[in-house]
Amino acid sequence: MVVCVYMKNTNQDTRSTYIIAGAIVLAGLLVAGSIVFGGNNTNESENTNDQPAREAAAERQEPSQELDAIRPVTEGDFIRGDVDAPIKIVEYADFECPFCKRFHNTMNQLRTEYDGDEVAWVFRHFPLTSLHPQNAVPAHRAAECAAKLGGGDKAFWQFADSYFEKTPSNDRVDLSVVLPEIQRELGLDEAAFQSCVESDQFDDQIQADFQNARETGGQGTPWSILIGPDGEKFPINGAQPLGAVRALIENVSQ
Amino acid sequence: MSRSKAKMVILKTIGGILRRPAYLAITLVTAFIVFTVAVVLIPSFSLVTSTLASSQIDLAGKVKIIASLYGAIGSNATVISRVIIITLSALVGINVALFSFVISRRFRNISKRAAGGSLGGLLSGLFGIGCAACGSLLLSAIFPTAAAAFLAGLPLEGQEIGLLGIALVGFSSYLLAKTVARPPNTCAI
Repeated sequence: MVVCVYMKNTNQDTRSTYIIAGAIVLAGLLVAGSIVFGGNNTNESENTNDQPAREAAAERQEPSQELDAIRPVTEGDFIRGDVDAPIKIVEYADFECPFCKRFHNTMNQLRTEYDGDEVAWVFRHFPLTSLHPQNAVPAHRAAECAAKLGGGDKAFWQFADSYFEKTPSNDRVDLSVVLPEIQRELGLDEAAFQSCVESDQFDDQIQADFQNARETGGQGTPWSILIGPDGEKFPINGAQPLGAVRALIENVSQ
Repeated sequence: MSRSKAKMVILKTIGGILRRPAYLAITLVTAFIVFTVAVVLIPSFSLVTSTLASSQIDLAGKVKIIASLYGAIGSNATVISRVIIITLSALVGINVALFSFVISRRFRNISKRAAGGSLGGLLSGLFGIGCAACGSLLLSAIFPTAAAAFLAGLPLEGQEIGLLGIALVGFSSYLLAKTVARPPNTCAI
C-alpha cells in the first residue's frame, strides 16, 4: 500500500520552517534573558520566603554595588590568615551544602599554596533553611558554640573541617550522633556544648551573616567574594575549581 | 523498511551531514557555545563581567581567569548535571547543524512534530542545562520561589527538565534526519 504522507502545501511547509527558526531564536533570547536576570545564581539556590530576602532580590542592584555591601572584615570574623592580608576571600557557606563541602576542600588546598598573610579566608554563615531545614541552623549554631567553648577561631575552623569531612550534606546526617563526636574531638564540655547548640544565642549573628550574603548578591551557596589589594571585589559563585580561584588570586595580586 | 534498518539510515544520514566540514563546524561551534553558556556564563556571569571590567587585570589574565572557569564542569556540577550538560551541548549542536542543512536544502517536508520537537526540546533543554545543582537555575531566576519549590519536590530535584530536554532535542534531531533521509515530496511505502 502506498500512502502519501509528506505531500504538503508550500505554505504549511514554510510555516513549519519559520516555527523552528522562531523556536531557536526564542530559545536564544530566553537564555540571554536568563543570564541577564539571573546573573548571580549559584549552586544551591535559595528560595526563602523570608520577606527581607525577597525585597533584596526585588531591589537587585548592579553587581559591583551589591558587592560593596559586604560587611568589612574584622577581628570579629572567623579568619584563617591575617586580617590585614592583601587578598581576602569571604565565603558565605552552609554546612549542609554539598558544594560548600567541595569548596571547603578547594580553600584548604589554597592554604597550602598561599600563606595566611598573603590570602586570608573568612567564613560567614549562610544556612539555607529552605533546602536543609533540619540541620542547617543547628550546625551553624554548633560552629559558633565550638568557637565560644573552644577558645575562638581555631576551634571554629576545627569544627568546620571536621563537620564537612564527617557529613554527607543535604540533611543526611543525624546531628545527635555527629555533633557529640566533634565535641569530643575538640575536647569541649559535653553539657555546655549541648545546651549552647539548643539555645538561640547565636541566631542573630547567623541571621546577620545571612542577610549580608543576600545584600551582596548571594543567591545560593557557596557564595564568596574575593577582595583584592586595592579593595576591588570579585564574586565567586559556587564551588569554582581550584584553578579558577588561583588564577583570580594571581592576577589581582600582580 | 524494518525499524533497525530505518534507524541505521537515520544514523547514516546524520553521520553523512556531520562529515561535511561546514556542518561539523556548525555542530562544534554550537555545542561549544551551549557548553560555555551552561558552565561559565550562567553560573559565573557576574565574575566574568567583573573580570572583564577590571582595570587591575591585564588581557592575558582576563583570558586565563575565564578559561579556568571551564573547570567548573568538574567542581560545580553533580554527576547527573555533567551528563546532561555534555549530552545536551552535543545534541543541540547536532540539531542546529541538521536544521541548517534542512534550511539550506529548502526541504519542504518538515513535519509539525519536528517543529514542535525543536521548540520543546530546545526550550526545556536550555532551561534544564542551566543549573549545575538542581536543574532550577533558569526557572528560579525568572520565578524565584514557586518554581524552585516545585522543582525541589521532584525526585531528581529538577534535573528532570534536562533529561526531558535530551529526549526532546534527540527526538527533534531524529525527525530532522528522517526528513533529510526521505527525499522531499515523495510518498512513503
